[in-house]
Amino acid sequence: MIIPIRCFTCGKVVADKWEEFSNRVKNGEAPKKVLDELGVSRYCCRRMFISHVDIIDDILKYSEATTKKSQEV
Amino acid sequence: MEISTVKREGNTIRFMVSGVTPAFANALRRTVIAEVPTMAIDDVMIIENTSVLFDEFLAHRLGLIPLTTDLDAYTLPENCECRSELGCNRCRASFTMEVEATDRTTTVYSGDLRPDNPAIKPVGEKIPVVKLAPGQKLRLEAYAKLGRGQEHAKWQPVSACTHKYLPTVSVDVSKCDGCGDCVKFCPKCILELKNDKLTVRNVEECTLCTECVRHCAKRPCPIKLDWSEEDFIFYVESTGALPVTQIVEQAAKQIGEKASELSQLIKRAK
Amino acid sequence: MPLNIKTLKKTRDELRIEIEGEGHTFCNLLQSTLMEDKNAEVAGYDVPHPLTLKGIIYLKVKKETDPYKTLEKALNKITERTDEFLLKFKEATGSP
Repeated sequence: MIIPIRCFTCGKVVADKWEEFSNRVKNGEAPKKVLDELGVSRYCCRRMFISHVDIIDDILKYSEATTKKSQEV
Repeated sequence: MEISTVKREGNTIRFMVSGVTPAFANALRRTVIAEVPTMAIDDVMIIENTSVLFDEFLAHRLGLIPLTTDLDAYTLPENCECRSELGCNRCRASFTMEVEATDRTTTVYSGDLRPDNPAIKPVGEKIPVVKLAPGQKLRLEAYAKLGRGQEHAKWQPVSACTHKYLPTVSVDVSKCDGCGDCVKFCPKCILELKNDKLTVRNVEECTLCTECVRHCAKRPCPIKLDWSEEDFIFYVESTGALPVTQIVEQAAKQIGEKASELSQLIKRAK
Repeated sequence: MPLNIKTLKKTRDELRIEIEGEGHTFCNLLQSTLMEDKNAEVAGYDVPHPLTLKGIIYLKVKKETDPYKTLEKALNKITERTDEFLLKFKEATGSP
């Protein structure tokens, strides 16, 4: 859905680093390099980034469509 | 007791304590994780939420945001004189949040939480809470309280607090042929060949993984791995709610206070 | 959680007390500190249930010593050590 605020295992805040991570990886940087530079050193926190699927943008499309529809009616 | 090799970097600290028992080191570690109080949002009044996340999902996310804590200005709700469920100014800090997406998708950040007391505010401004599509609205009030990690992980002041024994790595140079295999396999790079002689550097980095012994052709292996049971290397990483040094100090203080409180109780019970 | 103690058993050389509000964190430290005392014969602790914060300390001392005294001595030792730690830590980190 949306990036969890903290790492499930250790409790380090990861959410504030997500936007930078996702932008840089989209621009072709290696995830390893980005994570190292963001100071995410433990593998519990690293998997939070690697395995996350940010699906909230897709869900927002549907809610936009439904609000538009209800306004038309 | 001695404390040495202190290395502090931002929210983390690494130090060595010598001359203590494992029980003491562990009590300190456990107290840091579970008993040092910090502030976290505990009650959320949702006035309006048309976002795609459920109210409880939102409240949970808000709770996990670390807040800067002032331990002198606030008391734990169970120790507060007010005895009220809602709390008072001594045991509660409040926040309001009001965000509306008008023409484009907006991300709601922790920075959108408006604190009543400017001393208690989110550690980072850039923690995304939720995303709003045009027309969606979020309006809420949030109340933060002091709490302990033993009740919920959101009140944990640290994201890592570890200790390990001080490793000792010794090489019997007379039996080592200096082949250098162990140097290649040590993941922490603590072994080094100097003039064909095996030497050790940065022993405190050693994790006692025994890879060097495993890859050594000689039997018995000239490398001896051991550790000292009264020297501990601590690593503490704060979430930002409290400065790391204050967390460790507070933990030590709490253990001492508990011991003296118990000894008072025992005097009375006798 | 406020501390509370209850004496479960007391004989001339034995003592069993229940500490409400304390678990492994403190009981383990207390037990090992008790064992440092040469007058302590046996010291042990138990946390009967992992979800209730309650610890039971058992202590048996050698003859001619009072278990309460041994216990108090151990507790004072813990306070002294944490005070020493605090002092040294502040010195080492340079914090006021």
